[in-house]
Amino acid sequence: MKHLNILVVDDKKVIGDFFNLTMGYYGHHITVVHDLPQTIEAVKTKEFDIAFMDMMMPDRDGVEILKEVKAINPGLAVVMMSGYSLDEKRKQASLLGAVNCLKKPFEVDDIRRVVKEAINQEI
Amino acid sequence: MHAIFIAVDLILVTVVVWFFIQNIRLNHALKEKNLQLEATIMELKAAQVRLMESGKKGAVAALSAGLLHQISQPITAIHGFVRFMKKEMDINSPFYKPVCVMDEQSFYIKDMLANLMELIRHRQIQKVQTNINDVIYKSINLLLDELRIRRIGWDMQLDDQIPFIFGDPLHLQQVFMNLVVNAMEALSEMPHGAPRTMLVSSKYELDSHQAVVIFKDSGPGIAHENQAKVFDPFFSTKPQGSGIGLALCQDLVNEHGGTIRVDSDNEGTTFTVKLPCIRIESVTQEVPHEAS
Repeated sequence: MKHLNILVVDDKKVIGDFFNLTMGYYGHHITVVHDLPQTIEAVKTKEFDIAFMDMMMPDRDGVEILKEVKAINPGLAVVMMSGYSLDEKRKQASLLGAVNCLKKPFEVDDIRRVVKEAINQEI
Repeated sequence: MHAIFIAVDLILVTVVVWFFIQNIRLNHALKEKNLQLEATIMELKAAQVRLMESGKKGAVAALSAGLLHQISQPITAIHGFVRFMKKEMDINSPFYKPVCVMDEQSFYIKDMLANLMELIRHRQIQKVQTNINDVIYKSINLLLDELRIRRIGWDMQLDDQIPFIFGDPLHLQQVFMNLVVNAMEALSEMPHGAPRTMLVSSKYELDSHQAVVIFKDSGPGIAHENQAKVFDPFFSTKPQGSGIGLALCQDLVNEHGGTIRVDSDNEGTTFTVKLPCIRIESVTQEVPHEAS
């Protein structure tokens, strides 16, 4: 099993902890960022296999952050995460190149499924 | 002279008759206007009730959307961690059973959130010409195993003369399945040995040109004071009930221009769904739509 570099963009600490303690346990490298400047910094300086990005961030709309990330690294597979979001937002994210949308609450098997669908990696 | 009097009389009579006729006309017009006014007032009152109702629902929806977003974060962690621990844990560990209970309960919350999202999400209804009996068949078919496991005796009496309705088969299936699950849950509260039966029937109501679908169970019934509240969001008589299922049913039926009502006594509960049929003149000769 290949160990992936996973970027998690979420202002809620608990979501980053979840990725760290579960996917990290399976040997994947998790980078957690909480806002737009940190996200831009991470995408510019590190190589990621996949990114998980919250749809609703306090300082910026998740869709806007997606747009900025795609401008820096158009090839990065981005999965949006949302608790409750409008279909319109999902459509926008999909048009901007998000590969999938993970509905919260999700679990490890859901992450595995979307990774397989997005970058064809069994993790 | 005599002729002049006759002429004056005639004129007077004509004037009186003219006034009389005008009076009748005015009275008639007044009555008509009064009726129109009454109808308008009735419509206004109905609109006001609908507006208040939609306002209430809108407020609930807005509140729920915010709450859902907040709740979904900790639940992702709780549910996700519990599933992860259960998967990695030795089943002989003394903590395995408590973790299983946590898993079950967190799954219940997750499921409730999903239902709530369904309730408040703006749904895209796709209405097509639909045979209501096909939808009933499909709903029951999907729950046959569950009915058998719960040892519920059930029967279906469908009227094959019901005209098509214009509806979304998937949404209606959701309504019917919810009502059957509701009946099953009510029947499971019955003491051992008591009859557990459910009858699903359909008929055509000529006067109102509506399809009527009836779900009747022999369960313990709903207390009189609770009957008016069963369609309110978050109201439930079941200890583990989310109070979302019937609110969702009412929403979906209303979006089809239909109605849903409950009648209950100590011999059981009946839910009656009425949906408007397509007018005969607008029914085409196409092959009827297969509910999917």
